[in-house]
Amino acid sequence: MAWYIVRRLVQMLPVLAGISLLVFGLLHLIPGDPAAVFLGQQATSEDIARLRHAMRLDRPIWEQFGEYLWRAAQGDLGTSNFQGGQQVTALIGAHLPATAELAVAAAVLAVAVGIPVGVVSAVRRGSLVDVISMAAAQIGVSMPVFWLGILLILLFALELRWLPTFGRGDPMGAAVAALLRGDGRPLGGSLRHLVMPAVTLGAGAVVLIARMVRSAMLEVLGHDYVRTARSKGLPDRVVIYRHALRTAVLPVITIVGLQVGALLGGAVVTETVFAWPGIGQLLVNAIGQRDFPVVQGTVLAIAVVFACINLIVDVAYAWLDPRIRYG
Amino acid sequence: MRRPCRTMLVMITVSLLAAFLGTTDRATGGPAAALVRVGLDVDAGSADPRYARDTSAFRLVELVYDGLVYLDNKVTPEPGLAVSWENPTPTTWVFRLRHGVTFHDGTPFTADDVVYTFESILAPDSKAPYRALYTPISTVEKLDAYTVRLTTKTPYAPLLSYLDIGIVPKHIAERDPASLAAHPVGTGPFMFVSWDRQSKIVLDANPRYWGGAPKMRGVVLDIVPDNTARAAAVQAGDLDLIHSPLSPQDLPALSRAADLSVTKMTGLGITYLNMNTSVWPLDDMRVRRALAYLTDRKTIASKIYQGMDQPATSLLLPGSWAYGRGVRQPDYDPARARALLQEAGFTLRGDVYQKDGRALSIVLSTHSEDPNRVQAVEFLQNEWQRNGIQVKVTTTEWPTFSGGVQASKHQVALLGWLYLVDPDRLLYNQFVSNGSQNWERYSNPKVDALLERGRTTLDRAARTKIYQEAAAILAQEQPYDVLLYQGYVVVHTRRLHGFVPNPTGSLKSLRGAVLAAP
Repeated sequence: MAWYIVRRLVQMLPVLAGISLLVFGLLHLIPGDPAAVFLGQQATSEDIARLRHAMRLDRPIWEQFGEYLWRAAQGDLGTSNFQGGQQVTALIGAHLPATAELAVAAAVLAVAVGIPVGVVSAVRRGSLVDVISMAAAQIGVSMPVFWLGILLILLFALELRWLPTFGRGDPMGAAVAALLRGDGRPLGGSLRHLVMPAVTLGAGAVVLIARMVRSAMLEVLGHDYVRTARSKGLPDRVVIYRHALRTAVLPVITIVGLQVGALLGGAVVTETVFAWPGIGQLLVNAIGQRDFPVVQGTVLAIAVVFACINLIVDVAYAWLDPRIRYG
Repeated sequence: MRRPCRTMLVMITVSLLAAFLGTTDRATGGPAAALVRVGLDVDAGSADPRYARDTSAFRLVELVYDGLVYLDNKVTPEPGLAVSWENPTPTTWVFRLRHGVTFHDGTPFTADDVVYTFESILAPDSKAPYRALYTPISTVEKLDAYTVRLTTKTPYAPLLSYLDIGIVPKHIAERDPASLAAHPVGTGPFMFVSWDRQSKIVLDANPRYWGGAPKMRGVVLDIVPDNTARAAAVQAGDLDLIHSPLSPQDLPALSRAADLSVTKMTGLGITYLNMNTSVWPLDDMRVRRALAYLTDRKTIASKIYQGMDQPATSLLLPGSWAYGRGVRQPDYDPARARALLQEAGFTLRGDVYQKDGRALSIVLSTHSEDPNRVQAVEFLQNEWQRNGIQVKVTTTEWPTFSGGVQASKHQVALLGWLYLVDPDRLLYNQFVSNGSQNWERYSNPKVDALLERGRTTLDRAARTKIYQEAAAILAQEQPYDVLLYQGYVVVHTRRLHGFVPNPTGSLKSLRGAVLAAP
């Protein structure tokens, strides 16, 4: 297993280089000159040409890419002119934890709500619970993320004044550390800030997982071994959770894994609505400004996270299903 | 069956518990502390005034730094770090600097800092976005520790209104050129504390400020990109002050809120149609004028912008000293538009005007970031099409759009200019032949001569006449069709007393404001 993981990690390197090439190529293909955007409407063409030279944008693209790869391999992703000359690695380091926190909260919510709802809907197929939850799922799937976010803000922040309208509280790690020291306030603040963005981001995944679990459960419940288990006189709870769910949940793991990846991407909109200082906001701003080093670095970071999630999903498969072995 | 329900119940309880646990958290940044929370739409790029290019960066640097002058509410230069100035000859300006001012790190401010700031902006490898505003300056000299002389190549009338740019500490900028971009150190009323990128910037009051210490503990600039979310935050009491850009559709709710004060004023920006005079059919002045006659500015202002912006009449802003009622571009009048098109040789075939077998078709473009501009071009498309013009609309994101306009690849483009503190700033580079922003490729020797004179004449009354004459010609020839005078809106809690909105968007008067306890 250890050898398998190492091999997978090594295989990631060419994939990441390929992604870098793709992003690099695309960035240079789309119109819009970083130097012109940086200097703004008032700048003269001479100023822009001078800055292009200073930013080394006037050199052949393969030369720029080679230099980028060489430095990236050494852990240097460049600096952002648009963010006051900050190191791209530092910027990503500052934003990634916020997005990870949001994505994990959304994923936990999706699993904690999605799986039970799916199971109940399958077991009580056609019941009122099933009809209501599947109708809610239909609405949930078709509701735009930003709209749900704004609705939540209007209800819970503006009308009820229970939750803050924007921003992130203390980082979760710091908040938990404070709780261990006996101060629960930072954690309360962090959770209050987290609730609406996590619900907004996770709503789509809840729906997807609920529907997935429902159909998988329906299929499994019809299998012989479930009937055998039932005929042995095992209680319903044991049959459903120990036997049926364990099989039904296997494809759900892939979906959850993919969803966490998708959540990283979906975070872009949620982060904008709730002013959540994560990597999505960083990326969107960088694309809008043609801030090449930040776009490249951020996409690379997301790719690494994505690849790691895939690896974790594969390992989780082996752990849950003893028939699967990796060598 | 019971377990999943229990899990859900626990989840909900935890969320609610967290919600109520946290209600105490709002009090920590609360009223007694008197920290004023300001909502901005984008994060600042650089905190170094020389390299500031976005509005958030301007809002940040003017709180931390001081310029030689300060532009008051009528955009008139008032003494800042310079206590007085004189121009003994039309090309020299002598500034007497304020004594006893220190930077936030305790270092005294002197003439060396002023000389360094302007020399670094003018340096050949400078990345200063507004360098072009200062290039008419030929030398910056220190006469003594508190006197500086600026010499310009030719008389340069708008100079004084550009000297509000922040003066940076030489001893820091020289040693570490990049450091001020992230850790600003100025002489201003507020001192930099911390910066969470894309989230918030925290400033403390400067107790030793030369103009008197601010009456609050400090200012937090919160970055909330979504306009509606920002409006909701000020209504919910999570922010104390927000200002333009705001979505017009959020204004009615803000105006209704009893605990909020909403101030609308004329800003210093215009929204306009840039008509490329070098391409068919816009190379014919009559076609440009016909389009102007088909542009219903009043409806755009009242319906799309909900009265936040005002319908424009000319290139001179109503708030500017150069404004004159006599200068007017065409008003909405479809009948005159059709007459002009016929005069230009177009005949109506079916629904579309044609000339020499060629249909009258126009590509109208704008950028996708501003939904109101997108709506405005769609409105214009409908209006122009009803009057026999084929219109294709293209909307792309700003870098693509502006790149096309800067290369004059457009036909008609909807965009804007901001921070027009002097008529020279809107007219000179935009309309002199081969001007750096003459994207519409307009050329008229008479306008060239007028704009040159407007720049080199120091007498304001004479300049007013010159700019009115130039604007009258431009209103006739229509290389620009000005749609709107952009409004400036400030919304703040009624507990904030003494804040004076400034059409430049400046928050500098926060220094004298007080945030009362709720």
